[in-house]
Amino acid sequence: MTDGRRLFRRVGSSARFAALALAALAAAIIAVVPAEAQQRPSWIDEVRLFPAKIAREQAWNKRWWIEKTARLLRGGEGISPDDDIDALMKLSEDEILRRFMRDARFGDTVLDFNLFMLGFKPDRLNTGGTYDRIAFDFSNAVAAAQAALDGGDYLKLFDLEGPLYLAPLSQEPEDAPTGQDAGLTSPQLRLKAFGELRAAFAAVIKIGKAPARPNGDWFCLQVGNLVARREALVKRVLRAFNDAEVFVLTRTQAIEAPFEPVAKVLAEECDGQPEQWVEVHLLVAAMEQAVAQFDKAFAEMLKFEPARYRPRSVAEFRAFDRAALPGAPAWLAFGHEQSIALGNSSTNFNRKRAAYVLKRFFCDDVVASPPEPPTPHGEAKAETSCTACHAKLDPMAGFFRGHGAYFYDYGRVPAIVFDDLSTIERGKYEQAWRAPPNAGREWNIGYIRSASTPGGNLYGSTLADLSRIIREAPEAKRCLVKRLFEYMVTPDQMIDGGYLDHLAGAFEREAAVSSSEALKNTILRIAQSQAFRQRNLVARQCYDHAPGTNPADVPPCRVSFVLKKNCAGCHDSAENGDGNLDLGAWVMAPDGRNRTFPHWNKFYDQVAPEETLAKLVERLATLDPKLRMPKNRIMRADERAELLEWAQQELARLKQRSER
Amino acid sequence: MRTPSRRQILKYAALAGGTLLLPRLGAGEAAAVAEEPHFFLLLVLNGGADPAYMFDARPLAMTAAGRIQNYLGQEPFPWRGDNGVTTLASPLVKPLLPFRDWFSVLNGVYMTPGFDGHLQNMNFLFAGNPFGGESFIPHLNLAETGRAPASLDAVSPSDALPVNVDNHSAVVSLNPWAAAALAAKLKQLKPVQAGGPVGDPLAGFIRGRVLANAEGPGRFAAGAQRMLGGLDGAADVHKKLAKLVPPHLEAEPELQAVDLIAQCFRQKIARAAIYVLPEFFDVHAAEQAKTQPKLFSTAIARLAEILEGLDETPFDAHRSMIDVTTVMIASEFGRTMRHPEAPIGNTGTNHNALSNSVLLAGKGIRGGMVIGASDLATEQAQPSGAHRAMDPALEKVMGTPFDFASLRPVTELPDEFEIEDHLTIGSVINTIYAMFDVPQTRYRSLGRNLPVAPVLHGVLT
Amino acid sequence: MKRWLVTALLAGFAALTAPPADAQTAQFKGLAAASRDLSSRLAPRDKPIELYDFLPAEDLDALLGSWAGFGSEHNFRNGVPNALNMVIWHATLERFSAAMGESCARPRLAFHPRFLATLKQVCAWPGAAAQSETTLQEFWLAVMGYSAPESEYRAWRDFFRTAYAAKPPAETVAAMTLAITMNPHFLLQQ
Repeated sequence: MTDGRRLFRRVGSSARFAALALAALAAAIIAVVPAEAQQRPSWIDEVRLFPAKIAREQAWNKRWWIEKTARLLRGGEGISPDDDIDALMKLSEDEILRRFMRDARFGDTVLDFNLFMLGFKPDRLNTGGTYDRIAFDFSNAVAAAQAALDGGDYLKLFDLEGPLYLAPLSQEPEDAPTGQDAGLTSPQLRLKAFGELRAAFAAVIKIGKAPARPNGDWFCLQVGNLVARREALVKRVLRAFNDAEVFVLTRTQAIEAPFEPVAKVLAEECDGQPEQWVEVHLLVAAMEQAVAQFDKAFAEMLKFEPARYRPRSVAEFRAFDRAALPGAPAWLAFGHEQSIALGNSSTNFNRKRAAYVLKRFFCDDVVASPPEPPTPHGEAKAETSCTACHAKLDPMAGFFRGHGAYFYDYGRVPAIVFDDLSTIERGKYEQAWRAPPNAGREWNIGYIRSASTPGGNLYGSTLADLSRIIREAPEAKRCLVKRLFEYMVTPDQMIDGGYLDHLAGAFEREAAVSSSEALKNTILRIAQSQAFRQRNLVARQCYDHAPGTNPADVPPCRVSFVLKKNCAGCHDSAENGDGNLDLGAWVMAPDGRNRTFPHWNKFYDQVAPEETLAKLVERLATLDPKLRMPKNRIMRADERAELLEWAQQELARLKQRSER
Repeated sequence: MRTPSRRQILKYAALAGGTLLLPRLGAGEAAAVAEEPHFFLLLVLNGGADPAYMFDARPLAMTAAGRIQNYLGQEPFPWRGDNGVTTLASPLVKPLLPFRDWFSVLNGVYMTPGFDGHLQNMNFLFAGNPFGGESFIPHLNLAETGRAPASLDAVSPSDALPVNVDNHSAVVSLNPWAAAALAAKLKQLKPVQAGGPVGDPLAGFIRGRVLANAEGPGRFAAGAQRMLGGLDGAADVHKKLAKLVPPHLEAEPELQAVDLIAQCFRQKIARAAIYVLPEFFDVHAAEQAKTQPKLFSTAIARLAEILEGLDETPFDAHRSMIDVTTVMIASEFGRTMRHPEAPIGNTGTNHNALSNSVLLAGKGIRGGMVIGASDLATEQAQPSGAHRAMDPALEKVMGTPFDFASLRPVTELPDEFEIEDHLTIGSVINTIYAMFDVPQTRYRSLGRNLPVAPVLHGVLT
Repeated sequence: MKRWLVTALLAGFAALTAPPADAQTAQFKGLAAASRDLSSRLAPRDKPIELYDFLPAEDLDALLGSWAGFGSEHNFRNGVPNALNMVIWHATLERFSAAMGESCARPRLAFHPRFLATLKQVCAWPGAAAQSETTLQEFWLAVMGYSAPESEYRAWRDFFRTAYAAKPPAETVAAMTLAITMNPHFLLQQ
């Protein structure tokens, strides 16, 4: 007889055997469970026995906290030999934080956070005191950072159109100039390129302004040739700029647009009428106007030559005067980096951009956490998630319907060019977002909170509308606060929902008065939180709760997020939720000692916690597709393991308790 | 394996600082080699390579009828598998003819249901989930396979692939030149030592502090734990990396990559390698689609170079790299036949997750087979009801139903789509898992609440 | 009844053996952040220390942890410790530490005057002043800052007072620097 069989016989039944094994397993699991927050910490005894030692440790820890906040709030620069840390030790935490936020380097922190919020955080903003190009590329991030420094409207972060911040122009060309350009630096090449363009116009203007009126047809030919060389002339100018600069010049049409009025006058004057009727002076005036426009734009660009523009802080970032550009165009906040990262192919219908906005501004990651499908109320909630995601994605995507490759605005031309170089007639493309008849609106475009209950949805059609929606939506402010917590503490750290609501609520109230103060106050709160003070965070533990909250009244923080994300959508009520189970609440169990999920049997009596948990374990662990939960949803393996582990620990704890 | 010509021997002897000259193996290395070596190489055609330009071609009559674009303008030829299944191959694949017994062609492979994005399908290839998760590559290096894990899960001597995977911390980008420069420097530096009573006391102290911080729960402790594991393996990796021989200056990039991969495999620095070909196959625009003959021509030439390089590069005195390496060549999906509204001679193509092609070669693989097929193979072919439901516009070809027992396509035209009846990427990955003895608990299922994707036992030796 | 017990058992074993996700591990702070930390404590503002200069080969900084992204996916990559990045970190920090040790004879890097004064004191090793609590703590705090608890400092101090009691200054300073910079409290995000 084998040892196993001997043991089995001693135990007496397979059920008892399994139960014993489960208990042993649970004991092993419990051995590595982190200490509950409610247990008496050992330092209490230490303080009593070794007061001097504890005082020294507390002083050291406070210095650690000061250095951590200095590094956080001063653009990554911690305490230096020039800082008087002893003087800082005498201040309160509030005073220390406010002092650091008055430092010019706080602008770097806010800009860095803004880029983190937008999903483009770099390793560094500057190298040796010179800001890297990426620091200038996100105009809403820069505008918001500057506002935070001077007490302005920090929520400019949500504005998708705004100022243009140009980086200092390049010092050296990306490709070494050849031929007649050989040996020139970038500033020299730029001046040469501008000069060539001016010279091309000046040559034709000179003919038109000669004392003797030139032959009309012949002059038309000269002007026509000039206009026909537009592409080549533009290309000649662009050779002096790098990719990011070319992006700006192309989007603003700084060099192409001044040719338009000349072409218009050319068409009017040189359309085959007799040569003596050609108004030469009108053609000359149009060309002079074009040159004046070039000069204006070039003069503004040259203000960004590195010899003249070298900002040492975010506060010194200068906006490009868009009045110097033809038509003074609005600048879309999606700059060079985002234009590359968020390309729109002919088959994507801007869904990538929509998913980006939802994820970064609303913390609504439809990809990782698909929403509930828009099924009619009362019917089975288990549906495919295709419709669920698209019901949110497609309307959001509609805000970008006129923006093709590199976010170029095709709103005034009949066709759109996509990032995969396909083209489509714009009117036809936009049909995808037309609202059905009787919808009460022209477009099916907006922020969809719920496809099944449309009352809370916010509709619009332009990017300005989208900015307004983001500004007004409480979800966006909550997302901002959540991201701030992630930035200051660490991403992927559990945060109690109630605590987040408390922080977000305070931010929203304070932002109604001053959004920059609201930001600073939120930084203050998080920097003084328990989570921020931990050296060794446990990922699934919540360290902070809303004031006045009793953590015992909600499911343990460790699993409440997992339950909310994967389970509570269906199991949302003991009365009429699936399985008569509410996995979003936590109530006293019938035994009066433990807590459990609201879970009713067929007699409307509360089920014992052991039974609820055992069912939970079974449904999570089974491989039977008919029973496995969550039904028709993708649950991350680590979340399933987390929930299983917790449920088993709870079961073991309940069993232990019942045996005492 | 083929007998190399003298010219080829001379060509490869000039490569790679002489990796044909086998290093003297130390005792530890000899013991490591004594374990049956098995490595994995994934060659990626990025962007969605159109199988119609490789092993799932269509006759020119279909192009003449406006069904499918063909910018090569040459009739495909029959490619007969040893298992009696035939497909049509584009003339572009001729450089792979000398290797036809090495690899098997899998056509009509179904990728992710419901998503046609690059990222989603690349995620699906690696992790079996369009939203990402655990990649299959590190699973091949787990101790539970019965093999001692290599120091790293994989090296990638090419551009990084965009995937959302949770477990690529030991999948490292290492291009041949950086590796060579690193090796040269590491030769001058002392390896990190284990410390301890007879070791360097400083090393022992450093390790002791890492160990002291690695105890207990929490992120920081977990990070210190990983540092400890890394520290303990660092000396071994240092010595192995220091032995890397720089690539030959004049060798083609593919051969430099093969050489680096071979060295990494030989020294058990990595269990697997990922190489992404530089060609990008996402040809939505007509102008891009017209470049496909050239794109595929250069890509296939690279694949031939790589296969030849694997054959010519020795693993040890008796085996070449292809003898110890399973090779998979794949893209994230196939492509549609055309744009519906563009003229057939001026059309790009879009994504098609309903039919992809995969090549499997090397150790553990029965070469020379053709497995699976896609539908709409001729102008007269009719789509099934299932196809019409999945692709009402009939822009795509779709994998036909598949008999897993005989590994043959089934000719019936089902009215409804049932994924259990189709060859999926899940089966391909599970087949690789089976080869590497990865436990079945890791096998991929066919979808939510669906059974495990069947292993293609017939393709295994 | 039987089935849920068995299922719970199986699930329990699975939970025990499931490895932690990479995301729940503290990762390396990355070369840029480590350089910034050292610069703020050791160097003048206009001459920062660049650990990049001490990498054993070019373009390896991305393997030590950096922000990278594509599309709407942006996260910190390659920050989880493994054998390869430990080799690279060690090689880099060893070379930096050697430069610190060599600075006893002649400064190899641009140092803040205050740190230079501390370095000068430590370079009198193994003299009594160099081994004093004040000097050692100043040196520790200059390199590590307050990132580590005091217990780490005490362990470091005690080790060098014993194992390096009679060693020459350059070797000692190099070893001290390496011991600090290879500490998890220096390398890992907190």
